[in-house]
Amino acid sequence: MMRGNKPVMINVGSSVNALSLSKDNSKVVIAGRALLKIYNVDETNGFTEHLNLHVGRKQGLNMSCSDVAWSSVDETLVATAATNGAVVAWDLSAPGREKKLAILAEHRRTVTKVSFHNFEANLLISGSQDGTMKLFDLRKRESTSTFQSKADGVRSVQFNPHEYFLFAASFDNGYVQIWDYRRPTGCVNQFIAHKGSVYTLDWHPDADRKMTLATGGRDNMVKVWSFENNKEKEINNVPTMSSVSSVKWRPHHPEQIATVSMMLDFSVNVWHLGRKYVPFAHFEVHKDSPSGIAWKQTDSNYIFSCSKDGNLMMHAMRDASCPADQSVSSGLAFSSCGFIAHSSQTSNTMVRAQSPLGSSSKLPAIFGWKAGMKDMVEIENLPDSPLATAPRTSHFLNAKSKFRIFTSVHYETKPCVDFDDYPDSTSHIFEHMTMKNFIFAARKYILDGASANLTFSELCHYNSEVALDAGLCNVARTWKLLGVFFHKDILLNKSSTKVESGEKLKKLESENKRHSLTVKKDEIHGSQIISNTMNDIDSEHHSDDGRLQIEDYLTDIARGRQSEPDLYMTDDDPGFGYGGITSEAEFLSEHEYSYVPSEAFQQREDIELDAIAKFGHIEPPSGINVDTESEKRILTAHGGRWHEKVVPKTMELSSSPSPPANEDDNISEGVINVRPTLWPAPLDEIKEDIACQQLEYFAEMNDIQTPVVMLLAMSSYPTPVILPIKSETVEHWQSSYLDLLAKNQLWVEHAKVVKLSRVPAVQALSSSSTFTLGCQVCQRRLPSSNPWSCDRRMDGEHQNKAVSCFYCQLPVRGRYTYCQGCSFGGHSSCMAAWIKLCQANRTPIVCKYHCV
Amino acid sequence: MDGCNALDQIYMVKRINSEHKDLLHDVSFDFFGKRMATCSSDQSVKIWDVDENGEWHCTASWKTHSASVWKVTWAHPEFGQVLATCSFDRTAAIWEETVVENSSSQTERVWVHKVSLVDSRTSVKDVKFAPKHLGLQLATCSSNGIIRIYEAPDVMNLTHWSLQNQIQCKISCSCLSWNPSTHRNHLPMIAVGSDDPSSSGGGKVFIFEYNDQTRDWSKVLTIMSMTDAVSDLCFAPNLGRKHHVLAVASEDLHIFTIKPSSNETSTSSGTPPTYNQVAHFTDHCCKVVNVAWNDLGTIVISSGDDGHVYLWMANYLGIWRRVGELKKDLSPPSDMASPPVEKSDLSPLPVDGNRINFRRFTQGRAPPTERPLDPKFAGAYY
Repeated sequence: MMRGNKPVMINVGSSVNALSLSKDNSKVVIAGRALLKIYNVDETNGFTEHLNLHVGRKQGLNMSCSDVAWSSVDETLVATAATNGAVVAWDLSAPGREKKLAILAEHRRTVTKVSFHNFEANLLISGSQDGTMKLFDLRKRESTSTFQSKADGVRSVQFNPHEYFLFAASFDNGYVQIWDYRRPTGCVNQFIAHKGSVYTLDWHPDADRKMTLATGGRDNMVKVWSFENNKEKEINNVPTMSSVSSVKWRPHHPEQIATVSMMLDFSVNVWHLGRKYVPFAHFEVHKDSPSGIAWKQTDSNYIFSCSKDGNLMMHAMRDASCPADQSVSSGLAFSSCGFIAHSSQTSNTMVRAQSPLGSSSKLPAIFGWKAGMKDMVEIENLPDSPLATAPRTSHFLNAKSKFRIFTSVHYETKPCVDFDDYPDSTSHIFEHMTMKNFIFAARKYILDGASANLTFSELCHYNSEVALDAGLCNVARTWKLLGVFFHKDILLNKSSTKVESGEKLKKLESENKRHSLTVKKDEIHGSQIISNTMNDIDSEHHSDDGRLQIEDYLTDIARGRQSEPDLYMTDDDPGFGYGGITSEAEFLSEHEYSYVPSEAFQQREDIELDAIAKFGHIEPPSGINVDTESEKRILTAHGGRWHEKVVPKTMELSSSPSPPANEDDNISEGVINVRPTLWPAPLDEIKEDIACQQLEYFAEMNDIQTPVVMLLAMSSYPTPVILPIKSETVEHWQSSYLDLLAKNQLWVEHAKVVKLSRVPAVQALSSSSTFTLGCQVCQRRLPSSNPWSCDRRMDGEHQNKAVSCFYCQLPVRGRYTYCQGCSFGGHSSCMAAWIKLCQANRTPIVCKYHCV
Repeated sequence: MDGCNALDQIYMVKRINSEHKDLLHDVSFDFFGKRMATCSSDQSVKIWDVDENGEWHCTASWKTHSASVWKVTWAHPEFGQVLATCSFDRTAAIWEETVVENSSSQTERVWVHKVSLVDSRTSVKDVKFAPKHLGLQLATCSSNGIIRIYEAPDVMNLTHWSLQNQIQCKISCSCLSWNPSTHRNHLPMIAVGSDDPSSSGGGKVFIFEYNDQTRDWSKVLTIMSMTDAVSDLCFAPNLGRKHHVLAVASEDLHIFTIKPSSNETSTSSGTPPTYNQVAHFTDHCCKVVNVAWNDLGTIVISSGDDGHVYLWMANYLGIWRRVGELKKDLSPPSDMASPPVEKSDLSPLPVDGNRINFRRFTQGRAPPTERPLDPKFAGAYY
């Protein structure tokens, strides 16, 4: 991207191979295959043609220029290198059109480079593909010395601007040689500078660094060498993007160097050795590879470049783009483990502080940022200001990154003991950053109530406790509510509906219960809400007589049944529906409804007190007294913030006049706020909707765990309740939740969810690691009951062919261990023995894979 | 109120000497957050692994490109330990960590160059892997405004990537983000931000959607209100939400919700997505350069050009507010091998319990928050 103006440019019509500036920098000579022209350079008028040296039709190969050089001593001397091996010298002062001074056809192959001596106008050196360099004296019009490189073709040759007798040459095989031209028998020094061709070299123009040489090569590197006692030393390097075809030191800027590349990259880059990885300035205007560059010696803010597309340009440094400025030099990342990594550039503040204008520069960056920026731009756009590049350079060089990692420390979240407890904001942020509670809950939640032998209500109760421990009050409450809503629909045992005898069932279930007794005891201990009620039970656990009774009771209340035998029978019968509850309702209406005026909300609260008490299954069986204290606690527990979300929704449903939602409102009031006469039937109609809405609400609030776990829990029973939520949505939820579980490396929980999911796409996740075994003979799938042998194993052919150990040839009944590479396998012990045997005998294991 | 230094209690800041020889441009955690990759102008990428004490150690470092490496990103671990990098040298590259046996028959892990994607003619500014459910896909964006979508047809062969689509964005692109939603009806979506400096150039954030029928990506939305250069943008993890949330770092921090196009009837003419700006914060007194989300998509972390890091969170009504700040420590950079442990310098806004005095900027630009003069700054002249 260009800043400011376009460069001064001209298109000369054909490919340019090289350029050179006149002594006073007012003219530029460009050379190409059929091109040799001199242009006047003027900043206002641009390039104007001064002289065309390519005249006449028959110029021959002598005029096919690969390089051009203009003497820095004599304004009138120009030399070109021809592809046929000739070096042509031109005298611009010659009268007429014919300005050739001499044609020095001594090289046998293409001359790649010509270079004038910096002090002797008549000395000219050339390098050729034939592997020699020749020193010409233009007075003699022939070569005075020939330097046999004994290396490869010469790529570049240049006199040292300060050491009178020295010149350097670079070669296709990666060598650089230093010669003293008085001694053509052998070089002073030679060394391997690059991998591959060294295309270019440039002596440092400063006298105090006279023995510093920059080289550029095919290996994309620019290297800076210094020589002490004829021993080379690499003092710096610049890794560039592509092979370097030309390097040029910037005059008066000892640390800056310009490069162009041979292919792919069409830009001109200026590098600062103080920061070698990022171009200090970048010009990207050529449409093809730039072939030559030259700094304006009198004003180092300008650089000339020519390119294969025929463009000759003069770039001003102030127009350069700064890749360093445009880059985002700051990174920020959040880790699933609770880290935050942040890197930022430290020099930003420094830059603005250096701005010499305006009071804003006196203030630290954060106060005067935008004003400071403006100052900077203005200064840089003043072309002749000495400040034009100084701040930019120091900004460029001072750029440093600061890299910090924020580690989450252990923060003791206040435990949530009540439904009304709400985590303080710190723990709230902490939870969202570290997901500690999410992980806790994901581990603790029981999803599959059927296999854990918990009734749905028990499951909900347990999970509610988990949610409470995790500080998720709303979730805990929703679990309770789900238990209330669906305990009659979601049953532990499908066959239970068919069992005639209630007593038999009870016994059966209590048998089952015993296995999970410990679990339940834990639950009960953990329970804080209904501990009052449970205390009585707890104490009775130890008496053998009491045990069965208590368990029966637990089963009953968990399944929402009344313990009275007459109600019990009707409970599971769909025909009778809500027998138990209906009778409850009647019971209630006898007691309470008669007192309920249509608009008296306070009275309704009393109704719910009982209703919730019943729904929540904390009503004791007859014979156990419950003090009103515990009921009160449950009621208050249901109060709180929940109403803020659910009340409006349920209000719509129940189409009753919506009361103003104030602090004293109760969520359960909202949920069961239906016209008393229609109750409880409407509850059954709307409960699924309410549950759906609640789950969708959680999903929208970014709590994906709750809806997924609840849905899974509800569908994990033999008699599942499938909420009318779109399957795409469920799939979306489950896949999102699985993703989070995977992020936290909760693989067991991940597998559980996949197993319980009823969404085909999610179920498919487990199929990738499931193998179905087939009989080797009949290809039929092996039965799940005897997965080690075929159904027809009595038939001799099928005998032992199914899953046999490759080592002992016997069927494998238990774990089948196999090599994933060659698929040979068998008993684990056999495999181990086999490998041991192989290692002992030093024979290779059958396959190339290392089986274990 | 104990919330007055909330993040102070949660986060401990640790300066790490990255030993990169030039500016760091990007830092990226892997899927599990236990590995970290950094990239720098020094053309190299470093891999960091965390030990059980929470200390990060550089376990690999190698030269990746021949110019500044702008971005580094991890593929989903399902595809292996795979990195993608993009660079000023106009390429993007894929790297895979493989176990090799060295000469002394010990196994060691090395990062192997798999492929260079060389289609771009200009600097590749960003590279991102698609969410896992879209397969092994990769999007790159270049500074000449071309977005390219690559796909590895065979996930076992990372050396072969085919260029699936090429989208012209016309103005210089700086950043992109895939929509991570796994919803069946949400079309694959990419948001692209432009760093074009001219503010007259119209919107700088574009949303592209993939159309299954035409098998092509098309621009479905331009956020016209974003006229400043965008330096970073990021979709929030979509955890079952119906809409998408996009955080944009520009001159200021913006948060948008994007309602996906309704193609549930799968007719060809679904309504295009719509957007709504839900937050606009000018609290950063400079350009906002980076945004990141937590895993739940509930907290936005943003960093400014001056090194300040803010945390933002929405309350239960969906109103965003600032919840904390990790201020840049002003101590001179230490070059010691063992970085000193510092307490983060934090000053979150006063928080009144759960009810926060939040502001909501939905229209126009609100005046920047007035900030008290930090005693550290008073009289600090550079």
